[in-house]
Amino acid sequence: MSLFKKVRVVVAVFFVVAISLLFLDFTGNVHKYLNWCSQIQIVPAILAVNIIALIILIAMLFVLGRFYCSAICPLGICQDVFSHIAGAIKKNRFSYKPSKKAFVILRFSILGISIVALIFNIAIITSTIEPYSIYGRIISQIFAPVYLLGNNILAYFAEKNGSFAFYTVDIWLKSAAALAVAVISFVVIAIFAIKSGRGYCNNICPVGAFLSIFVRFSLVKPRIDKNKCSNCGLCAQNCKANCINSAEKDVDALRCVACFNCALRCPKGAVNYLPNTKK
Amino acid sequence: MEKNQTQTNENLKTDTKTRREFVAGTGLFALGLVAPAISRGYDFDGGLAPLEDKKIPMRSTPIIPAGADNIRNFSSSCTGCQQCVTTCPNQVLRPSSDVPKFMQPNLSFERGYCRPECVKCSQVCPTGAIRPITTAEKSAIQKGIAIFKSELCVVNTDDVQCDLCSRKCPTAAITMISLNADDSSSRKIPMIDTNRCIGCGACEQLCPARPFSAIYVEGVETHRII
Repeated sequence: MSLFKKVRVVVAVFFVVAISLLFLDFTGNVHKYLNWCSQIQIVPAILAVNIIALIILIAMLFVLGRFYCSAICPLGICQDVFSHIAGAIKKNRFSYKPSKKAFVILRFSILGISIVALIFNIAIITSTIEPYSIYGRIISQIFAPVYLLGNNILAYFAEKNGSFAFYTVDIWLKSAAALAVAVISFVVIAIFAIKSGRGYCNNICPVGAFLSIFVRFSLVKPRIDKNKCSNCGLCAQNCKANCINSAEKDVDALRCVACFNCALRCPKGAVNYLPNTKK
Repeated sequence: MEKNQTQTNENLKTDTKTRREFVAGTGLFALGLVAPAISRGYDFDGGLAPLEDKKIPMRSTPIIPAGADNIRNFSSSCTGCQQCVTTCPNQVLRPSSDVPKFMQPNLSFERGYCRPECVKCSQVCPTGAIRPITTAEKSAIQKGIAIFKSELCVVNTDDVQCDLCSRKCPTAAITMISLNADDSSSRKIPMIDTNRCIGCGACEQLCPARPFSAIYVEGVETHRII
């Protein structure tokens, strides 16, 4: 496994677990240590004018490309989980899809609408399309009740044995609308992830579109060495963003989410992430 | 050799079967545990009398958490991630389903009240829609004002004396006054000092009137330091 992918997986697992815990924990203990994970999410950081977080995110964008999408955004990582399961059933399931103009227009129109909604305060658009909020609702509406149920079972046993390490909490439906929104977005995300890997991130998500604008300047991105490549196409078949054109030996940087899976699959070691420094 | 093979296969089969039974059994067992555990949450009065659930009153202005300053500012920065809603230990926050403030949290006091000594929501908000505040600040922020509905009060409906709201008010904003001004021995009803009320909802939550409390909190557009 390349160092890039190792770092990506470790960071991604950390963030998805940490952010899920922020939404599951009801005692308030986790927040003391992990609150920063939610503060460095891009839309919250913009809204809170969190300068330090924004500088870190911009620096990361210019060095690692859309590393944010593959390792920090919990919704992106959640899609990778689905994608990973689907990939275990059917290997090499992706293929290169040329960038269609209609999809590019759709993507940037959604970005435009989201920016307008953010400025003119149209809550129904901002809150339903912002990735961190989508993930928050999925965890808080669908998984938190299960977590609380587990806690109540432990509390029941603990109390029977004279221990008060756990305490019973109320499980109640806070809002039917929120649950409905969470279930719908969860199903949509799951279908996108199973069908097309990062199709949601590259066609719908406004944050993905926003980050794509700057990605051409980033230092780390997949580059195919024309001399080493044997045209086997394994990189394209394992690219969840469908962005590697292995026939032309070209990568559509706009859609690449910096997951670093391609080099791992290449039998010839023809995919490099750093620019070629001539010896 | 072949016989051996089939035998192991059979062993495997029974193995999976018992495992399945075990899983199903555990599931049922867990369910049996869960049912009382869930229902237990509801008899917080000690289970002495059957209680009718409270209904959410119509509030013309929603109540937003202390630290959000004003409704405009709050609704423009909140993205409805539900971080505060899941963290709230007093069960007062819940997402709104109204279109203009879709998924943004509102306060309601059917299950608890907004304790002046708790600032959890302000600490966890990632967008700064609820700015971080101290407990000292919070105990002086007026995020709503209690309103008394005389016709619902048990003093009038059941002709009994009750002063729960005034006893539980953390800012001592409620004074009990005589129902009949000329007769000092008559039953007493609450009077609210709007310059002391911080809109915590303790009075609304503890009010014995059902299904609507006789005293409820109405939100304010802009929070005020009192």
